[in-house]
Formats: sequence, structure tokens, C-alpha cells
Amino acid sequence: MKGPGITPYQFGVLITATILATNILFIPSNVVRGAGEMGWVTLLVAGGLDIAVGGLLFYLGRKFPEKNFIQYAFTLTGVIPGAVISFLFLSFLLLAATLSVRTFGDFITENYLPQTPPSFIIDLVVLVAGAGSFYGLESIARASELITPPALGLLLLILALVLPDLDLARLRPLSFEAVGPVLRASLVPTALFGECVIMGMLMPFVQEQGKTLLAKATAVTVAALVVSLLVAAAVGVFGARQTANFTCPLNQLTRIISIGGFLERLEALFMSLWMLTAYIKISVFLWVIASGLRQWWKLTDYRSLLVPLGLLVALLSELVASSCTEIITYLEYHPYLALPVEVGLTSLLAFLAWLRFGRK
Amino acid sequence: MVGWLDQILRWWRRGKDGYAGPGEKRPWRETEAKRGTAGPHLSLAENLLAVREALHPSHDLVVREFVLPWPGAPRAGLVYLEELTDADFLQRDILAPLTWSNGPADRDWLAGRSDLLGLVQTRLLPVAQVKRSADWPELLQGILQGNGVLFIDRCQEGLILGVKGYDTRTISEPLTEGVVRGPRDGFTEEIKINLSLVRRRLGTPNLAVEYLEIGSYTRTRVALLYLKDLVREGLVAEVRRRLENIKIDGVLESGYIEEFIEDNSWSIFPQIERTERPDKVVAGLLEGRVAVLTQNTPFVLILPAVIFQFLHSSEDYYERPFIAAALRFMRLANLAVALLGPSLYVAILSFHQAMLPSPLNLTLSASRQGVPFPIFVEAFVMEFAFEVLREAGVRLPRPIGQAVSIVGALVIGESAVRAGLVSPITVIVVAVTGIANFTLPGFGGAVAIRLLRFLSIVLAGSLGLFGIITLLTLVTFHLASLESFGVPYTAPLAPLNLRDLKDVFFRAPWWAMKHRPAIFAPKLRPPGRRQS
Repeated sequence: MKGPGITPYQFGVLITATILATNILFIPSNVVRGAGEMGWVTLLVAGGLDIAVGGLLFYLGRKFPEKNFIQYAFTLTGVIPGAVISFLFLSFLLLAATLSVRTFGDFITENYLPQTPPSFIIDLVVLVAGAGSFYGLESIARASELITPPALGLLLLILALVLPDLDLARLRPLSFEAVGPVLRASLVPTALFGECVIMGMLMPFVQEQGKTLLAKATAVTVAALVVSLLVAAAVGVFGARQTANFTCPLNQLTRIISIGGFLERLEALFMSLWMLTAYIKISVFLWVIASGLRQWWKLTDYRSLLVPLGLLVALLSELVASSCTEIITYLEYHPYLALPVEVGLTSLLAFLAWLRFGRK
Repeated sequence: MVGWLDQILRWWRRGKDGYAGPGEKRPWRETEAKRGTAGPHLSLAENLLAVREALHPSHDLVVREFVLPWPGAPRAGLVYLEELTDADFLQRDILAPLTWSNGPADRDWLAGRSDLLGLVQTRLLPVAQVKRSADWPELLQGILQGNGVLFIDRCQEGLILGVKGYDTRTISEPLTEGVVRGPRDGFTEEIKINLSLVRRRLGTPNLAVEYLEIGSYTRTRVALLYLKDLVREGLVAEVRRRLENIKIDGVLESGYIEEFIEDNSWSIFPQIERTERPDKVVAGLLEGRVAVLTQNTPFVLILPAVIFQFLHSSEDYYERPFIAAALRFMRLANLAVALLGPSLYVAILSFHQAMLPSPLNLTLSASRQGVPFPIFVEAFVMEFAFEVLREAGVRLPRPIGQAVSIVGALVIGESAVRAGLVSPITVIVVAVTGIANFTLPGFGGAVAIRLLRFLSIVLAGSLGLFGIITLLTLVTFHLASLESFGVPYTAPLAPLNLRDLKDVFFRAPWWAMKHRPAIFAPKLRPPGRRQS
């Protein structure tokens, strides 16, 4: 990596981009299916839990400054358990990256280019995102700085433009008794928000490490609030039942915008901002996996790993799903795979760190 | 596999020191010393012969021999190239005092003194620039640069006399960077005039001027300018190091130097600003940047540069801030149109018709009725035709050039539409794009946009919106990876510097600009109202 690392702000926008990329397509209908009118709360719950996980990672990062997740896993647990943890962690990140790439390919083919094989889209995406991670973390962070704030602004603009069609009555009943369904429906977004465990890999590169947690909390809060507002808006416009049936409710939401008969059908805008954030997310994941493997295998440069890694992601994405519907179905089961890694491994390491180094 | 990947990486990042121009690869001094009989010699005849041999054949070389005007004085010889020197000056101020018998009153006293050359230099010659040298290559160099060289018998040294006189273009308005309000003087080909344009705008003693010589054959004079108290520490040393590492036989334009010293030569984006305007150079110096002036070209390099500067015109700083802000937003919009206009048109019409409101959709389809080509081919060919016309307009002699552009734009365009080969909307899109491109002030940046436009049309024609976004992502990643002398190319937006944003999308009023831009990190930031 060139240069002296990334600023806390850059770290924050990377996290925001990651969350937006994963959560604005399929999650809105998913949470509304699970929690009905209270769907928007699940995202706040997920955000809160993710900030808590971020706290654990921050604790670990402060205990081992200059070390990333892979390195302190080895320090804390020894050679063989460390290898197991690294393997689980990196395989999970690989799965997440693969899912993103697959979503990209399927969503584009199904909605815009029905005659193009998804493999072609996927290969192109991997190539471009791989180029991004080849340029290094600093470049990805700067690119994210250029892309994320406008993306957030556009989401808020969409929110503002659907206000005329909004009927808040559709958001009722606001039943605070339905804690059970809400918590259960929060599992999926929590698993997806939890992909921000990449914080453990990025933290050694953040310039003012003390501000990492603040940056992370702000980023997650902003992202969670925006997505949650958009989910509420979708329910407010379409009603819970219809929202749950859409593949991508937010895309439908942008379709109904019509201002003065001229400014309408902004779904291109929505799709563009989603694609841009997805590119950022995929390239940062490729970077994280490659540099994690680099640490584990003690190589000098992560860049040599990008070609095999890119091939692997492209190949795995052929296996992981074959359509958006399959991905949506799979997402229901994703938490059982994701949460043990995101929450489990992190808590385990934090506990060990507290046990071995905490009381000093 | 990892091995050859490493090789590729190394090639990707290789330094720019590898190139030594064609022909001689040895340092020029060495080859020089070998040629002829290296002097200077004690005897005048030998010296003059050596000069003649070294420059043989040079029919423009003038060797004027004479006898110094006092009893028993030795012979002397003046050597110069006739086209580079001022003949009047030579006769009046060098030959006259040295040959006239009614010269200085104390010429009797001169007779028989030992250090003749020193005495001639200090007492006889009314010439401002005189340099005494015993270094043969330097003496030859002096002749070649337009100086006269004086040899005196029995002196193993020569005097280099500053008698340069050749015609230069007068200062005129810069052609590529015109403004409505602002100074109208532009740089010329003569580095001294250019320096004077900068010096007279900067009264401070802190302006540093360093001369270098680049090009083993052209020996082009290059000046490095900076303000000693403002420039970032280490920047000047780095620029000097890169300049000194240049190994090339000739430098004919500052573009040569730009390619050698920029950080990433494999980018289509210029990482060094070039300008013909002295006010722009001074503004750059005041921001703590470094300027590189090159002999024989009006284009001055300013570095480091960031991408947003290619959207700024020096007029922005002279007009009222509101107007400047409006102009900058307009240029941003034009940038988007120039880059994405035709490709969005292609993408929407070939893949995403549903995105358009129905009336517009109907109009567009109606206008394309009967056009035999797919929209992609139509747009690509029209863009190509536009570039052909533009290039023809530049190349052809000026009066014909205008005729060609009128015939090309009006007649061909109109007939193509009439014949049904092209839809009128395509012509509109292409024309608007071309004009939008012309509003971008930085020529280098505008060319990059032109190149990218073609790429984006191809991607839009094959992959629609996804293709466009993919290209945008790739360009963003690339821009984010660029650095210019340690300054991120996308600064101050990424990495974000809120204070510096005062001069990016809009320009704060002068009285509110109290800090120099932090991205160029000058050492000292006093409150001052004159800096941007």
C-alpha cells in the first residue's frame, strides 16, 4: 500500500458504501415480509448490533494497533486455531463478495440486458473491481469518497421526491408488542450489516485509530437511517403487502416519481448509484481478502493474489446462485452462516484478548 | 505464475530513467572533448583552428582577428555565429574599444602587463555580461548559444561576451486561453521574456529561479521557479531530481519534460498543468507550487496539479464570485455532457427506452424512422466525423479551414439528415457534445474526455447503462489512484479537505480566502488576502 493510510472519514464512507450496496436491493422486501409495517425498525436494530460488533473490533484494534484481524487471531489463539479462524473469516468474506458479484450479474441481466449471459457481466464486474483493488486501499477509499456522498444525496433526493405519494396511514399499526417478529426479521439485515467486520482488516490503516469507532458508528447510523427511511417510504407508498412482493421495492419506488410530468422514471439513477456502491464494495472486499491471505501466507504483495482470487470469485459466483430469486431465498438462511463468523469469531477474539491482555 | 505477475508489476511501475535518446549515449561533455583538439590553447592560432575544427562545417561562423591597440600588443580573435549575435553591438562595444588606436588613455600603461585577459575584461570592454573561462566545452557552448568568444594570443583562456541578439516573437495574447477580463499578455518562445513576465508580477525577493540544461543535443534551457518560503518542503528537490534524471537527445517542447517527470505516464489524464498565461503561473507559485519554464515554447508547466484545476479558468478569479461559481457549475455540467451525452443517448435508445417519458420516446423514434443503421453505429460515426472536421479545421490553412468546417458542419450534416442516413437528433446530440467539450478550459483534460467519450459510446452500445457505469467506476478508480508529486489527483474532494473546497466548485470571495490551499501544503500560512 502506498501512502500513509486512510482517514477516518474515508473509512466511514467505505463502510457506508458497503452497507448501501448490500442493503438497498433485496433487504427492503425481505424485512417487510418478516416484520410487516414495522420493517423499517429492523434496520435500526441491525445498525445498533453492528455498531456493537464494531465496538468489539475497536477494542481488539486498540489492543493490537498495527495488526489486522488475521494477525491478532494468530497472536491470540496460536498457530492452528489461528489458521482455522483465518480460514473461516476469509471464506466468509469470499462468500459475501461472491454473493455481491452474483447479485450484480443477475440483477443486471434480469432487469436490463436479458440476452446477455450473467457470466459476462460477472466477469466484467470482477475485472473492474479487481482493477480497483489493484490500485490499493487508498485509491478505493478516495473513489468511495467521490462516489458515496453523491449516492447518499441521491437516495435522500428520491426520498424527498416520493413524499407526495406517501400515505403515513399505511405504516400503521405501530405495534410495539411485535418485538418477536421484528427481532427475528432483523437477523438478515444484521447479517448483511455485519459484513462490516472488514473493519477488523481496515483498522490498522486508519490514520487516527482512536476515531475509527466514531467513524464506524456514524457511517452505520447514517446508512441504517437512510435505508430505514426508504423502507418506511416504500411501505408508506405501496403498503406492506405489496412491498413484500417486490423483488426490489426501492427500484419500484423510484419508478413512481413524477414531478411536473418531466422528472420521472428515475430508476436509472437508482440503479447507477447502486452499481457504483456495489463496485466499491466488491473492490474493497477483494482487497481485504487478498491482503488477509497475504498476511496469513506471509507474502510481500497482495497484488499477485488478485488474479487467482478474481478467478475464484467469478467461478464461485457460478455456483452460488442462478437467479435473483435464488439469492433472495438464500438470504433467509444467510444469517446462520454469517452471524457465527461476524459476531461469534469477533466476540471470541475480544473475550480472549480481554482474558489475556485485558486486565493489565 | 506469481513470478511473471511480479514482472508485470515491475514493468508497470518502472521508472522513467531507462530512456537515453537515439545515437550517442555517453554524456555530451565526453564526446565534445574527443572532437577536434581540445583547448583552450596558449596560442591564438591554435585556438581559432580548434574552434573551426570543432564546429566544422559551419559557414555561419565568423572569426574576426585583430591586433589590440597599444604598442607591442598581442593579436586577438573574436569568434561568433552571425545569426545569433547583434552585429551593431559587436562593432560598437567590442570591436571599437579593442581596435581603435585612440582608445583608452592609459593604453601605454597596458603594454607589458601580464594578465591581459583580465585587464581587457575589467578595463576595456563596455559589455554587461562577460565570463572568463578556461573550460573548452563551456567556451564552445558559449558560441553556440549566441555569445561572442574572445581569445588573446598567449592567454590560455577565453572571454565569453554576452552579445546575443536574435529576433523573438513579441508578447501577444495567449491563443489557447483567452479571457474576457484579465491580463492579455501570454508567454513567448524566449525564456528570458517569459521570466520577465513572471518577475514583474512578483516583487518578492523570495522568488527562486534555477536554470537547468536538458537534452544532450538541444541543450535546452529550463528554468525552475518557486517561492522559497511557500513551497512544500522536499518538492523542489524532487522536481529537480526528476528533471536531472531526464536522458534525452532533444527537448523541443515542454511536453517532453512533462512526460518524463509526471507520476504516471500510462494515464490519459494530464498530471501537470500547462499554461500560456503568466498570471496563472504566478497564481500557482503563490499557492506553493513549482513552475517549469522551457526555452523555445510558450507553454509553462505548473506542478503539482489536481484534476479540478482543469475546470478552472483564470477568469474565475477576476470576475465576481457568483459569476465564477455559475461558470464552474456550468463547466461541470458540460463535463458530464461531453463525457456521457452521446453514450446515454445510445444506451437509452438501444436498451432502456422505458426510461424516457412517452412523448419524448415517440419524438425520438419518429425522428429515427428510416435510418438504416443501429443507433450505436450512427452516433459513433457522427462523433468520428465531428472529430475529423475538428482536426481538419486545425490542420488546414486558416482561411480554408473555416470553409471546410462550414461545408462539413452545414452541408454534410444537412445532407446526411435529408438523405435519411442520420437522424437529426443524433446530429443535435453530437453537436452539443462537441461544443460542451470546447468549454472545458484545460486542453489536456478536454482531450482525455474526448477519448473517453468514444469508449463510453462503445460500452453504452454493447452494455447499456451498465457499461457506462462500469466505465465511470473504472475512471474513478483510476483518477483516485493518480498522484501528482505526492498530491492526490482528486484532492481536495478525496481526500476531503473542507477548507480547500472554497476554491473547487465555487470560488469564495477574495476577502474570505485567508488560507492557502492545504493540499499543496505550503510551509507557511499567514493570513493574506491575495492567495487562492
